[in-house]
Amino acid sequence: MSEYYRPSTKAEAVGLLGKYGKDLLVVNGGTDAVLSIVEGKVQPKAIMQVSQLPDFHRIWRDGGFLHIGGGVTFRELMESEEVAPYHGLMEALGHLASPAIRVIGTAAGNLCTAAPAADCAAMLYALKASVVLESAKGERVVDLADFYDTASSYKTVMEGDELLTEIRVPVLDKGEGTGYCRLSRRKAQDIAKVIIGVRLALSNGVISSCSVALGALNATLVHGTETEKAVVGMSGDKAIEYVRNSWPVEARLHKSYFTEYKKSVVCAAVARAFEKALENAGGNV
Amino acid sequence: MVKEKYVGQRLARTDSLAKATGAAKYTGDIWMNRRDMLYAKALFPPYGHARILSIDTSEAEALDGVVTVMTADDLPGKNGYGGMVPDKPVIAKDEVLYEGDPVALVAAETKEAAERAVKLIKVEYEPLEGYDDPAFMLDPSSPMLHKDNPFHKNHNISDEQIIRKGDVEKAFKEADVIIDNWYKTPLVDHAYMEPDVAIAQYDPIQGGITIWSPQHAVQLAKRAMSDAFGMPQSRIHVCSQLVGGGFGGKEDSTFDVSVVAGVLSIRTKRPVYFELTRDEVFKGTGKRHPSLIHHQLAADKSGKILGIKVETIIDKGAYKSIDAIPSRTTQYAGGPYSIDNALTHSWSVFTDHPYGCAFRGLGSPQAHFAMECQMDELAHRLNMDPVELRLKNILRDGDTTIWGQPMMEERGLGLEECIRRVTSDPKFNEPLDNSDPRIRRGRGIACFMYGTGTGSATDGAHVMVQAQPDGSINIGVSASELGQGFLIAMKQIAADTMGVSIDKVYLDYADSAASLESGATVASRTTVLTGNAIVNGLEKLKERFAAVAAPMLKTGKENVVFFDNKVFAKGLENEGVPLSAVIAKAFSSQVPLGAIGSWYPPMAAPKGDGLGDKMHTYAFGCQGVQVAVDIETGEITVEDALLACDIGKAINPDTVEGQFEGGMAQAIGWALMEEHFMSNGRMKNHTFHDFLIPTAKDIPNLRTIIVEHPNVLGPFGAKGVGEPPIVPGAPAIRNAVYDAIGVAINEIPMTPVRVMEAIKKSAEKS
Repeated sequence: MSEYYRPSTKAEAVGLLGKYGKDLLVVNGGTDAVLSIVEGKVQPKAIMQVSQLPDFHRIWRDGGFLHIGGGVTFRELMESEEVAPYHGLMEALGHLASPAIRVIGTAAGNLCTAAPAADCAAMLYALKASVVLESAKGERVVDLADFYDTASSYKTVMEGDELLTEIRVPVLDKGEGTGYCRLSRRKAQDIAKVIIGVRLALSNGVISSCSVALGALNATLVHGTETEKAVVGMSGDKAIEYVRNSWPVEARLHKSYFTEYKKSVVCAAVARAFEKALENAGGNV
Repeated sequence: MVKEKYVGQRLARTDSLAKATGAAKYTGDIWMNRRDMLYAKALFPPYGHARILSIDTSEAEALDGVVTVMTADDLPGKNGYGGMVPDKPVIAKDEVLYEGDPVALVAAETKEAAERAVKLIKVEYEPLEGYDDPAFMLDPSSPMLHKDNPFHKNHNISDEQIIRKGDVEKAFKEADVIIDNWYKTPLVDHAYMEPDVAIAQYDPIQGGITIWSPQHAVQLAKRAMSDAFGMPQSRIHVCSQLVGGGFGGKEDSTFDVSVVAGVLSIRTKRPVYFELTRDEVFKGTGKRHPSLIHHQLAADKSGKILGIKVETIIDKGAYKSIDAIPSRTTQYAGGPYSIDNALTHSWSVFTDHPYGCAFRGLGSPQAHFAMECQMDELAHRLNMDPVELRLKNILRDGDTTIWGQPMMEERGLGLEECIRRVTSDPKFNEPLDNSDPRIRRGRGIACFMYGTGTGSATDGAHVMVQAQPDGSINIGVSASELGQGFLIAMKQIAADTMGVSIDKVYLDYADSAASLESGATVASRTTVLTGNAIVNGLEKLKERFAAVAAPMLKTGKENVVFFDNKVFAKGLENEGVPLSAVIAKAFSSQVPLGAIGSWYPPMAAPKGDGLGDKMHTYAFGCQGVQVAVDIETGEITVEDALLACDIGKAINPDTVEGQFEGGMAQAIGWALMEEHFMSNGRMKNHTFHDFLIPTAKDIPNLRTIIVEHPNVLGPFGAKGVGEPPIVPGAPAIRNAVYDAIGVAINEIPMTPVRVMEAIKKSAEKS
């Protein structure tokens, strides 16, 4: 039997993490964690519920960032006026699992599970979000680009005594747009086979900055760094033509039933995410 | 004279409210509320094919709470059971032939103890090669799966069927055009919501046993399991609870769980509960048979079909189960068309896969998939309208099928009306929006026919009817409520036949002790066969009661009319007596209040070469669909689906439309996403995470048209409706995709992976 904790302060939560370390399973929405417990994949000494912690359901704008509390659910994100301008994120959330899961599943949990085909995580990755990790020793801020252990899926760089308390997304500037494209085998409740997230800025009719997230194509989420560099300075049309014809080299497909399929559709998916990002970047100008 | 007061009305199903509110109880609910039962688990092998070298159950037996652990040496009877033949072992002895063969069974006081105990059983296996390819296993030089195959001289064939009609070689020689293609359909789970479950309770009074489980066939269950229980069939009492989805699968898989609970109950003399996990349902229970079809079609340049040659290889899986697929695929290989020359040949072949069993359509969807794709290929080749091509070839009054059965309008022959109503539908003729070059839209149709009943010599139905002195009626019928709405349909038929209000009719159903053999609730047969048996039984009662009533009404018994709970002389509606008074009088006059109603269709008449009448009547239909194909991602969206189906007479149009919609939705799953992947006899995808079925978002607004060409032999003109609606969906979608992108995809499901592959291949060719 495991001990069960429901701390009421962050300090208490962080204290428990300090005591148990990796033997403590943090449960947020529980949509992944509870499944692991039921299937016997994990047998933690202790379980700690965190969704009730103060500020964990807050979404606020401050200091150039959109702050998302560590317990904010997908549904709360979808209903937030602060999140609404992030079109790509809204679209990713709309495709994530089912309405029932979206009511309890959390953005922080989606990041910490570290699945390679996580919709919300992929779009946050494209948005260049960072996470705040707190422990008894203090807090550190880690860019999502550095958050995943790139050697394997389902692993992050979080220490056993750390708690993800907040997600920070740089606010959208004028001329910035976001776009998302996912391909799956059916229209709902299906893990994506290809996920592309894009955040870009248009200035004087050309792309001035760009971030591309590639999901479900590697063991972890990765940036399409070559593409990001190549499209800067291009007009929207030119960029779309470029991505449509240029394989994102960071996508290193492992051999599976879907390899050939992915090869045949990834460029089109990148192009679609770009089209959407350009469209709402135009709207923001 | 029978007046239709309820038949044809849209009456709510008697089970829907209780199911919607949770008041309806299923087998699993019984376990929740009883505390005297043992909990059973089976140990399944981690191989698709392996020799069992040793089993050590000592640790499991020593565990607290474990009451018994059984291996094949501990069985009360023969080590075999099955719906058609007892070829499936209760517990595997020397060898496992697929992942669903139990190696040992446990019964314990608690679920937790049972789950722990199976993990403590130590089995030493010698893994053997798992055979996945039925085409390979069909070759006589392939290795032998069953040691002594009693079914065929070629050691891996379970069944082989041939239809030979006319002179096929001559037809092909004279043909202007020959269409020659291969088609492939997948291994598919039924995906019913309720996992397979059974309760068995040994009867110490007479040495019998009672089984509660969701069944398609409570009477067949007695025959299927008596050898395994070492009991005469008469001692086995089977009750089917409400069935949480079956689609044909629980005709057979329920025996898998019932037999396990049964042998454990016989051994322990305690009631035993056994339920499969979803993982075990996927790996172990029956599936829709995969098929590989080589279809050759010869036609003249006007589009008249001259002949067909069709070879169908069917993956039987490890055991025989329901093995009518070779029969059905040879029968329906030419679709609903008049074809003078045919050679159709099918084999079902053993592999190390889950056994193929009944699944809505029973071979007809596979056969029609090939034939209806061929029809569009032919239309394409001849540059003909696919609708016109079909109208030129469909079966009409007086035509004979490829198995030589004459078609008769009086048995219901509404195919032409179905085709015309679908293809003239205004929405189906709206211009297609093809403005986005990446999204290509197209339309397709497919036609089909589907027999009512099994077409076998044993196909009949018998019911018990009994009038109560208060004017109400009991009907004992062995059919099961699977969610199809059989209860309300039978009440409508019985109420109108007897002239009573519908609340007076009560069905004692799905209990082998309260009913007679009325056949399995399969083969789209219940409305017609059981309905006719009820009519027959009630007519017998009416004849008796008319004789009782005649002197009361001062008229001749031939003038007695039953209507509205009253009995009156013809024309004197306002002067009658209550039916209850007549029944009470009969009760006190040595007139029996109970009778047996029976009905058999005209006997199927095999004449050799696979020729001869099969089912007495056939449903016909045509489906039209509109699809959008995303040519950059391979995604297919079914945007519109319209099904017209001639089912003779809709006893209850609401439940008929429910069947239409359910079949269409299930066909979308089969056409676009459902498939199990097998490797070395092991299932690669055995969760709903990997085995996808359609969600609400994958299904368009399903439109239906009921067509009624009455069957003179059916109750109120009815034909079967349960299975037909699944048949045309897949080829209609495939033909629509062909129309949209000009690429023929001959393997389903048409997943994005296959669509992109087909587009790529087609581009390489051109």
